[in-house]
Amino acid sequence: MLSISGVTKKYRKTLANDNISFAVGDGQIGILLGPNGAGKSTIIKCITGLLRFTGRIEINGLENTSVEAKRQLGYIPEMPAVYDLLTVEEHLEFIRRAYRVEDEAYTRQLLERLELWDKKDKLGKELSKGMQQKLSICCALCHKPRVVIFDEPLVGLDPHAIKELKAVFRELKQGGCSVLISTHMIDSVEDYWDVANIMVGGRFAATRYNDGTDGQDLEELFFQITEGQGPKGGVAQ
Amino acid sequence: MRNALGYLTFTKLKNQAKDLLRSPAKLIYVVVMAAVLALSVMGRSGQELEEPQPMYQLAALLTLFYSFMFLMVLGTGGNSAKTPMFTLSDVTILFPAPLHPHRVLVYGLMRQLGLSLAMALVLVFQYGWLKVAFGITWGHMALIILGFAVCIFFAAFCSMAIYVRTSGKDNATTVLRGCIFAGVVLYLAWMAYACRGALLPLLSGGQDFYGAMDSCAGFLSSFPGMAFPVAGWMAAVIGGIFAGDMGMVAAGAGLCVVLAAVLAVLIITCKNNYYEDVLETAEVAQSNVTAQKEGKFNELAPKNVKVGRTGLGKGWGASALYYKHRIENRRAGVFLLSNMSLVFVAIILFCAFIMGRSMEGEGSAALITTFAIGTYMQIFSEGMGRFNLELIKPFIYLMPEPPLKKLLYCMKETLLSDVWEAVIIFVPAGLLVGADAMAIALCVVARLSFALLFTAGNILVERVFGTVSSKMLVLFFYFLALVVLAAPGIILGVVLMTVLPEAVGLLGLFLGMVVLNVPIAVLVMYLCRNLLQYAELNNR
Repeated sequence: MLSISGVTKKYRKTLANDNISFAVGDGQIGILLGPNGAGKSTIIKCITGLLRFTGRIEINGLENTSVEAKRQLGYIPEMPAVYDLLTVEEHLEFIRRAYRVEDEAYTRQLLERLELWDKKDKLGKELSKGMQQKLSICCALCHKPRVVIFDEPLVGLDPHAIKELKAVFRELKQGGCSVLISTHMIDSVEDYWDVANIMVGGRFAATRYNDGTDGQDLEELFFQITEGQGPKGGVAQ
Repeated sequence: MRNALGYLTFTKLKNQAKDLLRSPAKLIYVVVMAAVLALSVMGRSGQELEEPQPMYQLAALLTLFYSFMFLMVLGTGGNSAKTPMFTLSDVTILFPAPLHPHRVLVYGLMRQLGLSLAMALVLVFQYGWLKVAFGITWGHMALIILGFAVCIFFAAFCSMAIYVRTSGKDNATTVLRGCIFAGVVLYLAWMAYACRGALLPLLSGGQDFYGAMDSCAGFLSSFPGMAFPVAGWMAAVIGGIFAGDMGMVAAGAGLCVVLAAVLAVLIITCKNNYYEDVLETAEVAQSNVTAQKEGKFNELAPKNVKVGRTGLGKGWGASALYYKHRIENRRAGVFLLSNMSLVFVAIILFCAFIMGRSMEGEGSAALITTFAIGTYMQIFSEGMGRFNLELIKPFIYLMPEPPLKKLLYCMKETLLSDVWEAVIIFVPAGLLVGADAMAIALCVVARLSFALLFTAGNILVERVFGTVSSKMLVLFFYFLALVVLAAPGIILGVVLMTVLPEAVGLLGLFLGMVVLNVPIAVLVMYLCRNLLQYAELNNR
C-alpha cells in the first residue's frame, strides 16, 4: 500500500506539488498522467526519498525514508541510472548485496526475460539507452519490492520489452504489489490501470477509478482537462 | 534574414550578456573573480623588483607554456569536448541547413577563437607575479592572453585538418601522432644539446641550477627554440613586441598566417567533410554540459575499458558500496591513485624539489611551503573520488541501510586512497627538502586530517545547499565552507608554531591542524549523517 498525504514540494518560488494526497492499494496499479511540468516526476521523487517535501508518505504503513520502507520499494527512474564501469550482471549482484537478497535465480530470470542475459558481461557505458532502461528495470525489481514506482518506463524500449514490461505490471498486480506508473502514453496503460490521477500545475485535476462506472475514456478526459475544459463527472479534486 | 550565421552569433552573444545580468549566481561569481583579481594585483603593488628579470626569460616562459598547452589540446583531439568548435545545436541545425560548409567552418573557427580567448582570460590572474618579476604592463598582459588564445585556436584547427585528412585511413592517425611525438622528443633533444654546457655539470653533482635554467631560457627565446610550431611562433610575436624586435614579430606572424592558409586549404580541398568528427565531439560536449548543469561529475573512465575479473565477490548491505568502488577503480585504470592524483603528486614533488634547492638550510620553511601547495591542490583532488560520483546516482539513497553506515562505506575507498596519496607525496617530498622522519609522519597525518575535513565539506555543501539549483553558486559555497572549516586548525597551528620553541614549532603547526581538523570533520559528518536519507536530487 502506497499512501501520500498532503505532500507539498517547492523549488524556491515554484510550487511543484501542492498538497497532494492519494493512495495505491495492494494489488492495484495507479497511474499519473499530465502534461510536461505538471509535477509527476517531482511527486515520484518525493515518494522515493530523492527530494525533501512537507507532508507524509507511507510505504506499507512505514515512513518512506525509513530503512524498512526502502527495502520494500522499487524505483525505475525516467533517465536510466547505471554505473559506467559495472557489467550488467554486477549491477544485479550489487543490488542483491545492498538489499541483502540471497535469491540469485530471480535476477537471472529477470535478465532473460528482458533479453539482457546475453549482455551480462557488457559494461553499463556500452549499453544503448533502451538497454540501460531494461537494466534499470531489472535493478528495481530484483529485490522483489512490494511497492514499485515507474517513471515513464516505456520510453526507449523495444516492442518486445514493452510487451514483457506490461506482463510484469500485471504480475506485480496479481502478486499484491502496489504499482505507480507515471506516463505520457495514455494508450499504453489503457487496459490495466485501477486508479488514474491527472495532474496539472502541481495539483490533481481529476481522479478516475477503473471500475466501469465512468463512461468517458481516459484519453478523452485527459484532453478535456489539459486543453482547458473541466472533467465531465468522476471524482475531480 | 540575409546572414543567418551573423544573426546567430550576435543573438547568442546578446542573450549571454542578458543571462549574466539576470542570474545573481553568475553575477556573484563575476564580482568575486574580479575582487580576487584586484586583490592579487593590489596585494603585490610596490613589490616590483628594482631590476626586473630580462624579457627574454618571459619569452622563454611563453614558448614553454604555449607549447605545453598547444600539445595538450592537440593531444586531446583538439576539438576538445570542453570547448568544441560546434555545439550539438550547431550540428543539428546548421549542418543540414542549405549553408555552404566553408561558411559554417568559418563560423565554427570564429566561435573557437572566441572560446579560446575566454579561456585565456584566466591568465589575468598571473598578472600580479608577472608584474613583480618582469615589470609588465596591462598591454603586455593582453598580448600574452591573445597569444595563448591563438595557440589554442591553432591546436583545434590543426586537429580538424588532421582528422579530415586521416579519416578512413587505417593507422594514419597513429603514424601522425608518432610523428608529432618524435618531433617533440627531437626538439627536447635539440634543447638538451644546445644547453649541454650548463646541463651536464648538474648531472655530475654541480649546483648551478639557475645557470642551467638561464641557458634553457636562452634557447627557448631565440631562433631554434622558437621554431616550435605555433607556440614558438606566437612566443616570437609577443616576445618580439616586448623587445621591439620587429623582424621576430614578422617571422612569427608570417609563419602563423601561412599555417592558417595551409590548414584551410587542407580542409576545404579534402573530399571528407569535417561533420563526422564534429558530431562526436559535439555529443560528448553536450552530455558534459548537461552533467555540469545537473551538478554531476563525469566518470573519468578510459575509452577502452578492460573488464577483467567480474563480480563483487564481497560486501553485504552498505559494505557492497566499497567493493563496487574497488571494481570501478580497477576498470578506470586506477592503481592506488587516479591519473589526476598522480599529476598532482608529480607537481607537488616538483615543487618540493624546487623548494629544497631554493631554501637550502631552511628545511622547515620548505616543508611548510610544500605542504601548503599540496593542501591547496587537495581541495580539487578531494572532490574527484568515488564518493562524489556515488551521490549522483539514486541507488545509494534507495539502499535499505542506515544513512551513516552508507556514508562511511561510501567514503571508505576515498579515505584509503588519501592514505596512499599522503604517503606517496610526503615521504619523497620530505626527503627532497631534508625533513626528519617525525616531520614527514606529521605531514602525512596532517594531510589526512585535511582529507577528512574536505570530505566533510563536500557532505556539508551537498546537505545544506543541495536545493540550490545554480551549481556555480554551490561551488562557491563549497570553497567558502572549506575556508571556514579549515581556518580554526590553521590558526591554532600557526599560533602553536609561534609560541612553541623553534625546535618543536613545526610539530606544533601540524599537530595544531590535526587536533582541530579531525573533530570538526567528524562533527560535520555526524550532523550531516542523514544526507543519504533525504537527498535533494533535483534534475538527477
